[in-house]
Amino acid sequence: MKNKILTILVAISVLAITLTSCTGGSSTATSWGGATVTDSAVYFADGMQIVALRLDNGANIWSYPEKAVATRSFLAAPVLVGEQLIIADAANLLTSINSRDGVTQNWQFAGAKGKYIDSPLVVGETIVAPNADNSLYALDLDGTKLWAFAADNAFWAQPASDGEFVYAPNFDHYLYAVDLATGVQKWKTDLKASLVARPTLVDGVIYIGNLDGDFFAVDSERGTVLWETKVAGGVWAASNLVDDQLYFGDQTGIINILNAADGSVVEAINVESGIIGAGVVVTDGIVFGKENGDIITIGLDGSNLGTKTVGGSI
Amino acid sequence: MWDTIIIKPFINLLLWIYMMVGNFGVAIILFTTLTRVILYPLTAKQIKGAQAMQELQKNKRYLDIQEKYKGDKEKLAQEQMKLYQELKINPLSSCLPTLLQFPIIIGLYQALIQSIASAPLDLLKLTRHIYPGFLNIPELIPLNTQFLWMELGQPERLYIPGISFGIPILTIVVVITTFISSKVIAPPPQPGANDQGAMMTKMMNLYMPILMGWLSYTLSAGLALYFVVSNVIQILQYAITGKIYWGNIFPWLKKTEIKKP
Repeated sequence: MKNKILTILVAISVLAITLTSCTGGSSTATSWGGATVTDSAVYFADGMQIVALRLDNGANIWSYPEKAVATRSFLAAPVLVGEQLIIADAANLLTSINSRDGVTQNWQFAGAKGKYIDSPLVVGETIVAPNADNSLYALDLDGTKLWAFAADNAFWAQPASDGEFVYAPNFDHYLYAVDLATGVQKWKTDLKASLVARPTLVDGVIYIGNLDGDFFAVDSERGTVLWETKVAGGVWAASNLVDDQLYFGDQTGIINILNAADGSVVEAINVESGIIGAGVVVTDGIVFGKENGDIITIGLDGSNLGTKTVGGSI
Repeated sequence: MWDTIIIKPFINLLLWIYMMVGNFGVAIILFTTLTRVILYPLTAKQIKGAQAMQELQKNKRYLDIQEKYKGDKEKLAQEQMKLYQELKINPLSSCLPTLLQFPIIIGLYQALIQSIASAPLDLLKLTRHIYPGFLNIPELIPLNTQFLWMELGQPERLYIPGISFGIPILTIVVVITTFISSKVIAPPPQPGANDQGAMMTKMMNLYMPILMGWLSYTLSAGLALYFVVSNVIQILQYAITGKIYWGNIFPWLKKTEIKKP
């Protein structure tokens, strides 16, 4: 009898674990790309914790929270401002901790009702945090809320800013320009599909792609679309602008090189595995992480400069 | 394989319904109802099989065999098998349909979770599961996951002015409907039936509502909505076949049920 009751309890527990693990909920979170690197340390989100490692030897300096808790998970890389490390999490909290010890909490903002998917943007003395509760929150460096800007759907991606306005992509297909000082909308532009990629702002032009594979150049002053180009798949990350050419990957596994002046396709390189993170510009090219765990370096002329394999999807 | 046969078709059907009705909560209700209706022949077989096994436990020959071979498990199994064959009862007929339903129900659950897509990797998976040409990503995303007072991608809480905390209404409804559905589908214990079975049923009746309540409290409201609809449909399906025992919850109804032929 006792054995049968035990069997039932075990079966129910297994079912609970199975169902919970299927949800992609907080306990199984996988961190989004990105890291913050200084001269001596690297800070990144590792699912259930934020981790600080020594840059020279990779030794763990600290983990926050010290022990992972099921109710908190971290999708976005933390942001460093002076000694403050600003951490956005999927439990709706924006927290500032001391970057040296990883323990001392400076402040915590609990005013959002949704997850923070991407890192906040810090412009001067203002923190701008996109949230899945449809709002963009602006706080000062003491964690005091300055304003909140509400749209029709979730803000996932970190916005861009020229110091005067914030350019924030939204799920509702619109790119919003919001006054950094007041939170008042300047313009909004329909970019045809949901926007989850970070925008790239250079010389008054915003470059951004959507989930349906449309890539746009938008005038930051008026919000007008300067040009648009169709690429093979959804764009999930920011583009890199180097020598008047834009470099970005898409989810079908194509690295796109466009002419920044008119959007014409310079080259579309098939790397056969989706690219959902932004490239990193290095001396002789741009490095992209692929979903299959490869790291590929593309020269500025589109040539393949080499591939390395690491464990896990990038 | 699992993705191709189960998850992808389910996600596309669920999202197609969503496109038709424009409300994800209503789409979940219709989708759950539709799959439960399609699975009804299996459910009916399961109910019938369980009923046959229940009847067998009252059979004099069955009881005699239990008594006669209680010390010899091997012989007992042989004699039971003979009796099953004579009476044309398949002892697996009550659990086989459940086993067949199980992957479909898990698939339904996974399709629901992936469709809600509240984090980047979930969304990435979702975009890859949509049949090109069947559904249009720009029209589909973002999904409107607001239903009544609920945000279907978040754990449900109802905030009432004057109360500082949110009330998990849907969790409460899930616990109640799970309790009712597990209670009313279990036949009342027969006189002479072994205590072990009754005890196991009692344990299930207690733990299942707690488990489902916990899942509903911590996971997305869309899932809790699915649990509620599933429970209600299960109760209705048993009611249609006449194999429902309201007396397990309302004792004053017991007499009437016992008199039934």
